[in-house]
Amino acid sequence: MRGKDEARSMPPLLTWLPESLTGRFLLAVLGLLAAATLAAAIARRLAAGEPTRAAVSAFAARLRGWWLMTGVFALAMLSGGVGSVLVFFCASFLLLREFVTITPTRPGDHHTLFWMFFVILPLQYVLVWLGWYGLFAVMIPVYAFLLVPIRSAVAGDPRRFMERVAKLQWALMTGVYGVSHAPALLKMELAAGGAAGPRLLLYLCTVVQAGDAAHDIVDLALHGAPVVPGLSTRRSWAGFAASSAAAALLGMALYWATPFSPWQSAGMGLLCGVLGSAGDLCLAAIRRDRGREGVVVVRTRASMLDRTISLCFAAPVFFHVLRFFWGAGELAVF
Amino acid sequence: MSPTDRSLGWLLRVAVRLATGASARWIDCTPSPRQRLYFANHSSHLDILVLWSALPAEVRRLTRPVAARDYWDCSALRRYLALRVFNAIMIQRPDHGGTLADAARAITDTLAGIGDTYSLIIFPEGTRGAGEEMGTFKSGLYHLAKRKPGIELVPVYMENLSRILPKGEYLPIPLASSISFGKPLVLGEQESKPEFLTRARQAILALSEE
Repeated sequence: MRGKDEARSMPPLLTWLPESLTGRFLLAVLGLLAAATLAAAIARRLAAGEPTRAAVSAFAARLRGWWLMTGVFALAMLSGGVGSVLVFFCASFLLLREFVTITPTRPGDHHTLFWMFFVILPLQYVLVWLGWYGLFAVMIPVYAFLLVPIRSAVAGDPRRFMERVAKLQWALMTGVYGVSHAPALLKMELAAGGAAGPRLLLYLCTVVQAGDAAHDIVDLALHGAPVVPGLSTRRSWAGFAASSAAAALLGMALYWATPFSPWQSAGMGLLCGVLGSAGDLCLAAIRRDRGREGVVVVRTRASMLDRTISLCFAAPVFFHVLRFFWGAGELAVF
Repeated sequence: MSPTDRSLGWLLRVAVRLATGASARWIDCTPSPRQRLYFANHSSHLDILVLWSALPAEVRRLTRPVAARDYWDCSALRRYLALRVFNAIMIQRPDHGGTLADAARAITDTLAGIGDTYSLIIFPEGTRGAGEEMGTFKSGLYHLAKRKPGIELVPVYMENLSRILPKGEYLPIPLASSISFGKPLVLGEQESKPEFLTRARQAILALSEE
């Protein structure tokens, strides 16, 4: 009797980690991160020459962000649904804040911005939390899409109207709509049944981060031919290939934790990797266009946009591909 | 300062951090509790609050902002914030319903308010600018420097605050902002008023390009 009580009082975390599939997946990701951190520490010792050293320190910076993200994910998953939604709500808030900071707005946009920050952003995450897919999917692309120009028009400043509205909508779509698809994975019902949400979220985050890290390393170490010379001299074809390959291979290696077969898992990894690189190119274009002002935020603190733009691009597509082919929702029926 | 005033001040600083992430950059200048005169560009009602929040605690305790009576003394809440939380020195702005005698009194009141211990926060444009352009400086900064020979005048540039709370708005939106403290100036012995005011304004403009 007493022994049973003691077993029950054992921290549930310790039994949960090795026993459940999600727990094993989390352990696998943490192991991978630890190995990568060790490799970075060794590489730092061995690194000779400027390009290698720059690559190693960029990799180390990526790893720090990755650790942080995984730690936050783990906490969010352990705290259940509300925790994850709150974590992504905060991330979204910081992203939107940073995005609007580097985007020139006019005083006429002030009230629209107020709506974006204090109504649309929280509402989107309430919808995620409620699991109200029907409204979650259309609130920003339909209702906020119309609300933004209406509110700005009422403010009565016609100067650069189209440009301003487009900028605000881009900020909402990437910083709020895109990101909100990551926690929405938690609510997804799969045709195969079972609660795969936390694993899918961790899968997405892991392949995207691995792709980003591979991109950094190869770009800085090899200085290959740039993908789009007009945007960024750093982002190279070699880095793009490495990033896609890393995301696909890692995706394949993690298939056991997902509803995918090994090849499907590689394909999903590849998709996320390619979209992540594409998001990064778009951010390069924004920064190039904004010139000095674009780095205002970066010079004062670590940029949230740089670290998460890949996720902003990959999350919605991952979500919808998953829903279309593996989902248990109405789409699967039709 | 009662515990209530202190906790309200703390809450305000936390709110400012959350909304603006206001980070202070000290460029060629280190925080010090010695008597100084901080002068900054003025574009928002939040300026006093944000600059006050950005100072390290030991400096903040010994720093008093100059606040315009016609704005800060017209409601109980504003008066409370100005006097009890920011420990502000209230002055009558001569161009906002005051007279020339008020201008002279503003200088004496300010000097009496800081004594030999307190530092001062002052917005030499005297009023909030319409937008990005910084206005010309009123002569108050010069007269204070003249009466306090050798005092360090620290230029402060506050970025983005006009976007967080533009003129005429009452709802702030959260945007990242930054505050830069620049290399202190000292009024030259032979320096004329226009020369000095131009030099001071240039110091803030230079910070905005830093």
